Amino acid sequence: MALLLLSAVADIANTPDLLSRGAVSASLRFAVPIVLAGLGGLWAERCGVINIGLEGMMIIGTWMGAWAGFQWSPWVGVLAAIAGGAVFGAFHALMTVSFGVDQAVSGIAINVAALGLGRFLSSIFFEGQPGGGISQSPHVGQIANVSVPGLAEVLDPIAELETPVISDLAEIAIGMTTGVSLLTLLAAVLVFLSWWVLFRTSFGLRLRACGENPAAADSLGVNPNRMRYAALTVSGALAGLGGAFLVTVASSIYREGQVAGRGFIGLATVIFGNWMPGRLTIGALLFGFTDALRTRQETTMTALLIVGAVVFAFLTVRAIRTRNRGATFAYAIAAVGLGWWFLGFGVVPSEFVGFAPHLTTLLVLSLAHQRIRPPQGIGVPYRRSEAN
Amino acid sequence: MPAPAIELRGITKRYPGVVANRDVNLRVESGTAHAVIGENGAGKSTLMNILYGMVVPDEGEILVEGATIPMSSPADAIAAGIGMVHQHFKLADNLTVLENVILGDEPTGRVGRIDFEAARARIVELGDHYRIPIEPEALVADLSVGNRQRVEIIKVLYRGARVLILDEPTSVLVPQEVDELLKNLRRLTGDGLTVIFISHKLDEVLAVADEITVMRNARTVAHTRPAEITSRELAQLMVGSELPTPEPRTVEVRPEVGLRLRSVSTRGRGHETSLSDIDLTVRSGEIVGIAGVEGNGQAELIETILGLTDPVSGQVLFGEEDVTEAATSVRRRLGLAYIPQDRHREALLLDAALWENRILGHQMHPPINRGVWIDRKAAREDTERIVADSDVRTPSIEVLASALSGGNQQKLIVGREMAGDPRVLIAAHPTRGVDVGAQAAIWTRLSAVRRAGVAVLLVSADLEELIGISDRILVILRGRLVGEFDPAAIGPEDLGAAMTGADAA
Repeated sequence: MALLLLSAVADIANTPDLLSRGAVSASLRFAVPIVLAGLGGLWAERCGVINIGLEGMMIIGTWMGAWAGFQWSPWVGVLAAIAGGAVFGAFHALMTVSFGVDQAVSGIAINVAALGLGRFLSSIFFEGQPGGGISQSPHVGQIANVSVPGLAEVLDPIAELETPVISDLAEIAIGMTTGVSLLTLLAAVLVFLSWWVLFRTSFGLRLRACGENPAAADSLGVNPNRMRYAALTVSGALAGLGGAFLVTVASSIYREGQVAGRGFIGLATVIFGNWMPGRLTIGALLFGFTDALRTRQETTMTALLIVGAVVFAFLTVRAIRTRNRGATFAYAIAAVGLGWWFLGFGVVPSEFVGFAPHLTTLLVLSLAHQRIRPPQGIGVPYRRSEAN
Repeated sequence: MPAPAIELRGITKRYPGVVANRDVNLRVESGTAHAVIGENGAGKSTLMNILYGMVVPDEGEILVEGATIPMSSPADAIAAGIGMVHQHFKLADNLTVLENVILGDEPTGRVGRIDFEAARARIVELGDHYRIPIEPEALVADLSVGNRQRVEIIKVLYRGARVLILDEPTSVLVPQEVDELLKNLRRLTGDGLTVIFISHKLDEVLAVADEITVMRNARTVAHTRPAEITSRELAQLMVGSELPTPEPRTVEVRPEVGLRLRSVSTRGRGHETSLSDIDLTVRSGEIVGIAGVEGNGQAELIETILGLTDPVSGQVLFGEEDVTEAATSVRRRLGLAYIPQDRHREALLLDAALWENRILGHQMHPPINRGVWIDRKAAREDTERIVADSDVRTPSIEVLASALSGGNQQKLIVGREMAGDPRVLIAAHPTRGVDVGAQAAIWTRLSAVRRAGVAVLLVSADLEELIGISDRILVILRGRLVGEFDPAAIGPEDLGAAMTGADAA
């Protein structure tokens, strides 16, 4: 249904780039770091700890990935990034679980520390290297891309037919199977693996139980503190991998400010995804999509005005059905406003375009909040004596 | 004679400044239901936690079927065949029944994959065998309290427990659920399992226990059988002295009205019950009891009087004053006091000191309020007064509310609500989950409040309490007041019938 909508919009707004193979593969590229950060957030929160430090752990990942990547190979960089993230994840556990530091405070401290640490370490290791400096690293090699052989040749004629929907589907299929980074594939595997481990294994059940009611887990011989160490280490490792993706796939260099809030957007996708890996990934793809459009063709953004108008119109109808007068009013104004903007101006100011992914995050979160069901033990430190 | 299922010898546990258990001896025969009773703070919970390995005793030994067992963690207890159903259930609400039951002891296949089929089969089999049916796929959050307790019992049985410890199992249940539970417990002992349960409710203890051990001041003081003792004797063993009885009504009800509801109706949202056409008058110096099965509109009635729910029609009056439109803060200023049913959620900040809790609800009233400031000194002084007047047992007013036992917390709340001479008092289950000593103290207090001319609305599920201290009893059923009774002329059975609507048929 979403596809139909986008396909129609691409025609109406005359912005063929909306669903082109380039846009699809760019969306994937932008979405993967957010998916990995989101998975990191998911692991931590399912075990009852909020990991605001994801942003910092991604920064560590980018730095470690570049440091090891430019000296040896990008794959060594990836491993180093995972290790760096894991160490900071375990540090977050040490702070929040063993020392009882507030989870938000520890996370913010990690974010601040990672920023400073990146600069400090760059001044030692990157300055004086070819292309390196205090705010960026030397050139790092790239992780190889792979394609499904032959598929593009088969699908190309279909894509060129310019039949609505079918051609769009072909474009999407080509975009998703051509020139895909090995790390993207790894991320896809990790989404599935996270679901499988969390929801199908005894380890996952114990981890989730510690996020819902640690006292219950403890009374059954499951040590919540140990589970939280494990969960946060995995969480940090995933964030570190997300950082590695930024230096070895999305670019080929470490640059200060490169993470640019992706850790936080990742956290938001956890909420959007209702603490489920699959839905989280859909959320991340949505943000990746808006992010990709922004960088490709500014006029494409105008097409999203229509999408927004239609979505709000749908919400208006739903609000009328549930007799929520306030919501009906607000949604209707938004729908009419966006539609009028598109017909009247047809342009989105460039300042706004850069802000679009964040605005999407904000909108989606504020609309999704009514149905979410977070783990109950989230954010609450567990101490054994208090449980009795 | 076979070795007892459980034997505790000379158990002593000291905490800084207090001895929780002093030379405690307990002998539980196999296949029996054994009740451990005592006031709050008598050391029952500590003893049960020792038995379940959550607390390690300083001295003494634990014997399971004649053999000494080292107990240092719940895992040891589980291995020895001992399981515990905690008073506050240890369940994860957002997990399914199945997940809660198997947690920590999952049947796994390759690489830690849970064998859900095997787990489901085993749970269903256990449920059938002990006739405790549960739905493995249901979310615990959707279950009633009684069903959650079943999950806890199945959880313990799933681990192969031969000895079940139940910590105040009936305190959270409604009467029908209590009957069901007691039936289940008898079935378990009939099957050869051993049940140890802690209770405050002496009639239940006498009904279901084979043997009774009484604890007082950290010691075991008596061991007896239901046939050999009356509930009054038991209660005296628990408190160690003669019990006060609810004093007879000696004061005349005054003519002036304290609280009046005129044909009040509300619209219930979601699971709430709608009130329809409630007419209710509580005179000054009168206690009006509201009886009813939980969920028949008691909560909505209280919220309407407090001003948390707006009625769609009708009026709420304090005396002659119409407060239907008044905010809760205005109503409190006009002399409304409230003892909520859930101390921890509504009445206290558990992580705040006693004197800070004294401020709650009185932040805008003298002596606490002085202009825009809170008078901390006055708050402390008045807390000292309450602690002394109401016999709140606490080392100081600086300790956290969470450090007090339930009964002492409740005494503090009653004292706070009585400060500032209220005109109307809403008491919701004021003695729920408190020991007999505190219960008697709170009853005495309510009677004193009535003597002082306060209009008291008492909502309770404890029929003895309603009959014992109310001047009139009104029965609420599906949001309507369906009957009025004279407590002197009605027994618990008749009242129970009226509550379920059985008498109308």
